[in-house]
Amino acid sequence: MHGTFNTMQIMDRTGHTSITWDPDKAVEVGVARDTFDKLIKEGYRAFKVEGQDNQGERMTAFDSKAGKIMMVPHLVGG
Amino acid sequence: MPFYSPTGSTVPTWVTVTTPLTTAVWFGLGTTSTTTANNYIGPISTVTATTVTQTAYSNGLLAQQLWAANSQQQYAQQQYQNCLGGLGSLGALAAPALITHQEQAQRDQELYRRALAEHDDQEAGRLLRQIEARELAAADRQRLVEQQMQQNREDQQRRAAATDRARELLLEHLTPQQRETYVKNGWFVVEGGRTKTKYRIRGGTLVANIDVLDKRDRSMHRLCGHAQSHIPMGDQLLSQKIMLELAEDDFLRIANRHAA
Repeated sequence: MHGTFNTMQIMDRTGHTSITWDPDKAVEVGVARDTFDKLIKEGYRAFKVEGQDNQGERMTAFDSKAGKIMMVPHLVGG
Repeated sequence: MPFYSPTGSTVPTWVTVTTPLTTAVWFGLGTTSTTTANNYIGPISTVTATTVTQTAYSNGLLAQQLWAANSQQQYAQQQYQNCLGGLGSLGALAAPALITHQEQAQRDQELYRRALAEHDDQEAGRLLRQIEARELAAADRQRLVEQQMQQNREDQQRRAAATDRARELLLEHLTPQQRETYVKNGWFVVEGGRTKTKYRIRGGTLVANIDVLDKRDRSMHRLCGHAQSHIPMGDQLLSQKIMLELAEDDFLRIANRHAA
């Protein structure tokens, strides 16, 4: 995944916010990592996803080479 | 009903509220709608020449402004009654249910003319200052209402844009079959990551919007689990889909179960 852009899509009040980074660029990775950690603290769940049928897995730590990360907001029962 | 405007503007500046606002409305919890038409604010049922309709429940600020206007209006009416009490036939006028700006101004002018006729310069000056102060206060209130309406319009535009973006993101993550049923019927079916149970996620509402299906695709019961309400619908549905596919047990622990 070196040299290619990775994406984090954050579901929020704007519809979604996308953050992209190049894993070879430390500054971009740092921004993505900080955002990831902040959202996890807020209650978001992170998932590494692949394809439209959402094959993937839950992430508990940031991975700069994850490819595509979906940040799911905290859910509650209704 | 014509409105009086001392500045020559065709837009009157007096704001009148005819019904007391409830505590719920004060806190933005009520569903009272207000209508502004030619700078007139009143209950929607009494105004037909509506140019802009604004629902107050979404923000308490407008309700507060109306409450303030209502209080000032009541105070002003009381003051007028006190003043008119000593003016013979004018004092016989009962306080109308609705006092327009024109009526207020006419009464002010009448009092002002009487004061001038009686060479009571002090009272005339006081009335003049009162008229001007009221006009300025009314203009301030009108500006606030317009700012609030503009803010609400911008909020609505932002929400609409967010809804579109969330829908795009959802469609991007649906399979062709899921996309087809969602576009056509407003729902799509996902398979639980662990149990392989089928779940039908329905859009349009977030209240128990997930049907747990049996082998014949009949709803056995419903699940209700969602993000906070400020998250647009598309994101809500995508969150449910991802959770059911990749963290089914977590979702089942979170969601409440309802009868089908």
